[in-house]
Amino acid sequence: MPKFTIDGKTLEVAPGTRVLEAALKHGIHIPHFCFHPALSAPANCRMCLVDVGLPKMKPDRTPELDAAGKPVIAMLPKLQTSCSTVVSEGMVVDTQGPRVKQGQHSVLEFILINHPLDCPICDKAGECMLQDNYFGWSREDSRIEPPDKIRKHKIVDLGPKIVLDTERCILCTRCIRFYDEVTKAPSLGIVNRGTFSELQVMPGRELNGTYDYNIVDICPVGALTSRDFRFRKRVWFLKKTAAICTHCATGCNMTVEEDEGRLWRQTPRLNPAVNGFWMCDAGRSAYHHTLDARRLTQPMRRGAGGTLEPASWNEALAFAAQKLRESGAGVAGFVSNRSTNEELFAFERLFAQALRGAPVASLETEVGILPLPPADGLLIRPDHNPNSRGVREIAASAGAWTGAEDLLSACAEKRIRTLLVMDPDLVGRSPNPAAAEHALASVENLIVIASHPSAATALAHVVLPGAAAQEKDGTYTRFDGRVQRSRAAIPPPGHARTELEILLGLAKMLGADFGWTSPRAAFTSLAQASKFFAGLTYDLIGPLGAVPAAAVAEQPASLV
Amino acid sequence: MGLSEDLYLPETAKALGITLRHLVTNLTHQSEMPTINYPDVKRPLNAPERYRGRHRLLKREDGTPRCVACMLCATACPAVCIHIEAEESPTKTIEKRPMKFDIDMLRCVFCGLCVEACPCDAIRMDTGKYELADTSRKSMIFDIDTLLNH
Repeated sequence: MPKFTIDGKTLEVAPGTRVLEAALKHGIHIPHFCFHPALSAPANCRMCLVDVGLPKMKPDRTPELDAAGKPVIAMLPKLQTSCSTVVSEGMVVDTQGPRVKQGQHSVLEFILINHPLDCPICDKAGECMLQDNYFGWSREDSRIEPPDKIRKHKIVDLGPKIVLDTERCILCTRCIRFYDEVTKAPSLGIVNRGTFSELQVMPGRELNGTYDYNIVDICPVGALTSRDFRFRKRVWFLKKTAAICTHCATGCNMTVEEDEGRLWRQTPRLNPAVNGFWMCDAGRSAYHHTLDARRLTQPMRRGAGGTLEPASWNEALAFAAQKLRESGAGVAGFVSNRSTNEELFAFERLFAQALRGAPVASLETEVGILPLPPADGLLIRPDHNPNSRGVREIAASAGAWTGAEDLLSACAEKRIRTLLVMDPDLVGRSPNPAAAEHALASVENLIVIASHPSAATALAHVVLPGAAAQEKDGTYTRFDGRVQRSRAAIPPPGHARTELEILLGLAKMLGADFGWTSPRAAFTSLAQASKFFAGLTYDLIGPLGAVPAAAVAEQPASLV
Repeated sequence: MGLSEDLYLPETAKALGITLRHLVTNLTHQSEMPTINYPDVKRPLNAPERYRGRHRLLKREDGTPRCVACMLCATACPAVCIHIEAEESPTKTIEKRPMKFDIDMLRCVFCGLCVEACPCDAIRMDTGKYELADTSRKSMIFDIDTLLNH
């Protein structure tokens, strides 16, 4: 392992490590634009210049020593780009000297020569590397007056999702390299020369793929903006919450960004073991589903006239509890692979403790609630649900779980009088929707916990409005067994409550006490009850998730 | 206290006398009275140049708002009384324009930070208007049209 000295600090790094990588890893910040940890380094922005020295070698390839016995260092005549310089034994790097400062300062002046300085209307302002580096390393007025700046194309549509501003572009080629190296579908290139260079999409093509929004994230300036977020909000207003995407079994780590109780954006959150720096466009845009104006926000009960009428939580829960209690052996429940581990556990406990171990089933479907592109071997998996593994593991440790088919036919044969459903769309997601609809229609009392209206809520006798994924705390078990925690960014709309609160409310009405009320305590209890989750706690799960001992062997290689 | 004060009545008569004197003076010397019949009569506002009155939004020469919806005023506002929603401008050189620009005058503290923050000189508080009272809360939220046509 080569040892080198950077700003007087001696570090030992893995062979092949680039100076910039090593510096960033050890808290030394070198300004840069084109370098991205997940991409190759073309060293074209020239911002990360540093002074590099190498030990002087004697003809026998041993370092020449000075009078004090230390190796003599010969500084290279020119500054080097730290993003492309690989660390070698005995190397000396200076990131702070006057030569370095002067170099970085001049590079930044060149980059800013034709920059339009329209920060007030630029979406990137506030999270722009150019702004940050300007304030850190330059703070000088431009020597080019605005009328002398070269004007290029503004508001260029690169497809339905991405808008390009060629004036703001600093030609770092991060986006080009993203398509070349990550999606392996080269789509962008730079045309023309010198100050007239421009980013362009390849002739006859447009950006309309599965991962396009990622180039907006990695663009160090505001050249690439997202149609979905463009002009919606200034980024400094956004409050960020660490959450998990729930639209496929990958469980990409994401940041949910909210202001004044409304969701504005979802961006990927780095997790080398799960999604790296990336996230698919469908998952990123899925917050629109949470904003849906048709959301259920009010508990409802079927009135005397046969229509659903608004009811208070007490009325709705009391009615549901009464029916569950009265129906004796004719009680059953449906959970779904879209619920959190805690909700599944609460459901399981409710049926085991308060409902005499009545049967519970789950649709083992890969159908989610949003259309997603097919599995591509990159991030999107065929199973469009976040917690299929969690359902399997919790069912394995529980007693009276049954098959979805059997339970639906029992409903159709009227052997089930009261059915508690916690599935976003039991009819639409079932392999045979007509049969499922018939089965639900045959139940005497259908109690549905859901956040959005569906065929099941239309048939329900009691509707209990639940929360969307961004509105609740909980953990999901990824397909490979990794348990990841998602936090609530906003409260559920209107009178809606989280599923855990609803299940605890029902349990209270039925006289059961689980001994916990919070998701954290629910998980601790789950870890004691289930072999799979044994040993895990919220503290161990942390921001990047944790792998239960039982699933260690299944883990895939790191993405970054 | 003396006897006349103890007896109370002489003192009352004295006080009424003073009141009567003022009444007669006021009735006979009306032009010297400092009180004006506001709001029927208004005094000219001899406000200093930097007096901060009601806000207004300025227009470009073509009549469109100067504001580019950068939301720096809303960012600077300590009372959180400015609510802006932006949209794509049909003019490509302008790019961004306000779709909604509301100032909640009930929350405004007239600090003038919005005026200082504006990079386009699109908002000013130089109207000299200080009469801000109305009968409903809703009418005190000034929208973009009210602010443009001050």
